[in-house]
Amino acid sequence: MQKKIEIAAQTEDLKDVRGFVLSFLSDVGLQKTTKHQIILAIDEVCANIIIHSDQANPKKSISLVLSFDAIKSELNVSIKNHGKSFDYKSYHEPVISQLIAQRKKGGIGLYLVRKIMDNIDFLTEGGLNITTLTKKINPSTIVS
Amino acid sequence: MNITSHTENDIVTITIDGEIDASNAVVLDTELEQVFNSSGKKVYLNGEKLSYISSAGLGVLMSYIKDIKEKEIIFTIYGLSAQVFEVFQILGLDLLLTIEDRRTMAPTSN
Repeated sequence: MQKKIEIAAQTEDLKDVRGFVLSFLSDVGLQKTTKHQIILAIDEVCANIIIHSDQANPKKSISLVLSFDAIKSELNVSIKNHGKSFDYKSYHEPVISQLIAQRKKGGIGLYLVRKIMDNIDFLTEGGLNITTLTKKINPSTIVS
Repeated sequence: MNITSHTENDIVTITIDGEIDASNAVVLDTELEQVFNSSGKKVYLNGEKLSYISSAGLGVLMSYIKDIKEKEIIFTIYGLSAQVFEVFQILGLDLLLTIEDRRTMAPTSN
């Protein structure tokens, strides 16, 4: 099963992303909590791309492909855009207590994604950024 | 998303209705800043109708934890759905903020 959506690089479109992901995950038959967390993870990645990679330029577009491999029971997410690339190698997971002490409002999006998804990968090829997320789904939790 | 604040007997209740994400977290920030900078020492956040919150909104809440402690404000979040509460748990915010299933005290009881 595979579905695709294209959005403009503006945070107002995140709502459309969530609706799209919810509909896909409901078709797969995931439980409410799992759906909520995966929606959050994808929202966070898209928000980061919109704000940091595409500088919230609504003329730029971001494509999102969701696929579910029923044999492997694995969800694959592929997000493509043409903005600034992200250097994942230099990412350091924040310490929540430090963020609180510094009254920081940002810096926890990717932290959440890493807690929710099994794998996250950032690749840039000829100006095209490809962000992939994967998550194994316990088949016994799928309701058909 | 809609945020409203209501003050009764020096107790402030902030009610969020809808979803908080990167597009509107600034609205929550403005509201919280105003409430925590006023003299209110007891603040409730009614999360019964908060259907979704992403890191943008959680980050806003986190950024006031220090102020809440320093100003000795009693800040209680209540009524979160199981799904929303789990997101607070992933970040460990359930241990740093007071989160209750439901409001334990009526606003007029003080």
